[in-house]
Amino acid sequence: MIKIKNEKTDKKEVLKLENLTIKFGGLTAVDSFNAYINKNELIGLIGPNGAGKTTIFNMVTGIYKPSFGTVTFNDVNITAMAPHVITHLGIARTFQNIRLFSEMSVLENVMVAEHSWLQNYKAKKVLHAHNPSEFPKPRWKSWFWSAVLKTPDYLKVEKEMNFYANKLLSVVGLDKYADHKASALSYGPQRKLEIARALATKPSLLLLDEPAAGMNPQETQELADFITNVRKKFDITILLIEHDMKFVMKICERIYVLDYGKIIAHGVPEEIQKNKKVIEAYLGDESYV
Amino acid sequence: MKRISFKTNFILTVIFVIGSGFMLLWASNSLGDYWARIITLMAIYGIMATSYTLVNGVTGIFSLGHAGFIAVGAYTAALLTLPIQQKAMSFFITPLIWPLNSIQMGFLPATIIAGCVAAFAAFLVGYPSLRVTGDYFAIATLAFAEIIRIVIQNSYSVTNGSLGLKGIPPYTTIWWAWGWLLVTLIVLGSFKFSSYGRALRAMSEDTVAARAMGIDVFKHQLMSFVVSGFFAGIGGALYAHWLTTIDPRPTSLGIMLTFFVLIMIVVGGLGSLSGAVLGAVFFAFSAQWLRIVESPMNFFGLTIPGIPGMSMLIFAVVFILIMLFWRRGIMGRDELSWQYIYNHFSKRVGDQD
Repeated sequence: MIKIKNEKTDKKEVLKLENLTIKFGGLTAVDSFNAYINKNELIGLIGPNGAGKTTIFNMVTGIYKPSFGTVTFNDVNITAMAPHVITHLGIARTFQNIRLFSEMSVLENVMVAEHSWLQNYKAKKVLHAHNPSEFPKPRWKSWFWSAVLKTPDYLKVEKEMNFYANKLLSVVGLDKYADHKASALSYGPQRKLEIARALATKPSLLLLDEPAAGMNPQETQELADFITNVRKKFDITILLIEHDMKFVMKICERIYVLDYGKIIAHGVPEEIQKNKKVIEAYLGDESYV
Repeated sequence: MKRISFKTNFILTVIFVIGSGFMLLWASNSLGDYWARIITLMAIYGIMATSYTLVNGVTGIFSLGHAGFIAVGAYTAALLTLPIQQKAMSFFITPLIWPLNSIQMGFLPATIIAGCVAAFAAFLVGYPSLRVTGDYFAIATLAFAEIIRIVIQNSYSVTNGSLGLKGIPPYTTIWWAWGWLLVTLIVLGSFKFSSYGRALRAMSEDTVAARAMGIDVFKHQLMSFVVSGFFAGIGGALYAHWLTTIDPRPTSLGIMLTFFVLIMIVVGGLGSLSGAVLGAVFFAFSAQWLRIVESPMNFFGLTIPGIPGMSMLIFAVVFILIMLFWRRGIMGRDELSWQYIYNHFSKRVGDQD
């Protein structure tokens, strides 16, 4: 929702993770993870199963509270904030196992995400506290009464929501299914709908959790084009988790490799492909062969 | 599939409401007092059921505390409308405390205050209970409803304890009840079909995804709980002035009432407001109609003595059958709209071709 404009530097850090650590009981799932993402980059996060990739996503989006370390988003410290506030600040995500609202229509699925347009008071307050000169003090408005009484200003927002949702659906090519139940879509379109839903919150950073999981090579190819398209069209930064190496190597600009909660490599795809540690993590130590 | 325009929808709905108004007018004039009372009860149950389905169906949190809020509403309204002499007469163990023993007000303000007090009670119950989910929430709300009932039973100086309140003026007519049902349906319908309603339905399906889409789950659940409590209070106020005597037994304003309303919304279809009304009408009607089986009767020369409680037994069997063969209730999650009727009608026609 809230776009943070800063034209001074082109290479602005959107997300910075410092010493991010989380412990579940005695197990350290992620150990001092450090990463940065610049504006408009497309970053890949890869690693064998159980390496802690999704846990990092959950910490960034506020579902888990990190035991140690900070998450900085557009210079605002968002560590351990509530998930909805983080979404309002501009981080949207998709899920590894698709989590659509299956009983609702495709259009409604997108419009649910647009509910955050009405409910971002807390996020605006955070931004105001961070930088009072750029972000004016927000005024609290009880949208509840406007929504029940259907006041003109609510109807205007509702109309905008409907318009924007339809626009998003036509961008992802699902406009003809707008009235269908989300569960009636097949797998590929469901993935696209989930991305459209995430985009409806007007994010500046999009986290994609295994967008190509369960897709055949042709669909994966389509998805790669789709993601690069979305990135261009919506002018957003993307961080994605993926297992499909061809896919990752093709579209990502930089890659972080994670194994047992630790970074084992970081660099451009060509470097990662040749990195010995990465090959070892994926294929095993050659001494065992 | 053709979409019915807003204008057509609106005109048809207005015609339907006016038509039902005339039906009620006819019913109140020519069906006799007994059935007029039953028709009033249908609307009261309708208000309780629609407010209950907002929490249990639309928002998808399983509360068992509805009767608590109904009781709060019933007592508040009754204490506000009871004539002062009647209060002095009823409270012979412990006199009624000050502000309440000297006020008597009209039905409408009393009902609205009852709704507000019940909404506040819902806030007090919901705020701690909504921190747990699922079965734990059901048990927490059940416990809170029981606490409300026990408090009512033991605070003699306010509620007259287990003696209950008698001689409540019988203000609830068909028009009050169905009028309030109309208001309830308009407000809850407007709420359900707004951005908030979409958020509630999303939460009922997947709270994790809803949270990730920027919905403050706790706040919205509490909001829905409080709105539901308000209308439960209204329903309770109407119920008190329909019964004219209320007491805190579990069978009148206690857990039994919660289960009756639960039956209505499950039969009507969880999450459907119109389904809840249909369930309430069905429940109120059949509960009275089934009294036939409790009276002695002659069945093909076989004389069966009246068995008390037989109607409940048959009720149970009917509901088991409904749950077996019609698992989603009458309406499922859909609303009985003109679009819905049109779609079904056109499908039927299409099948014959």
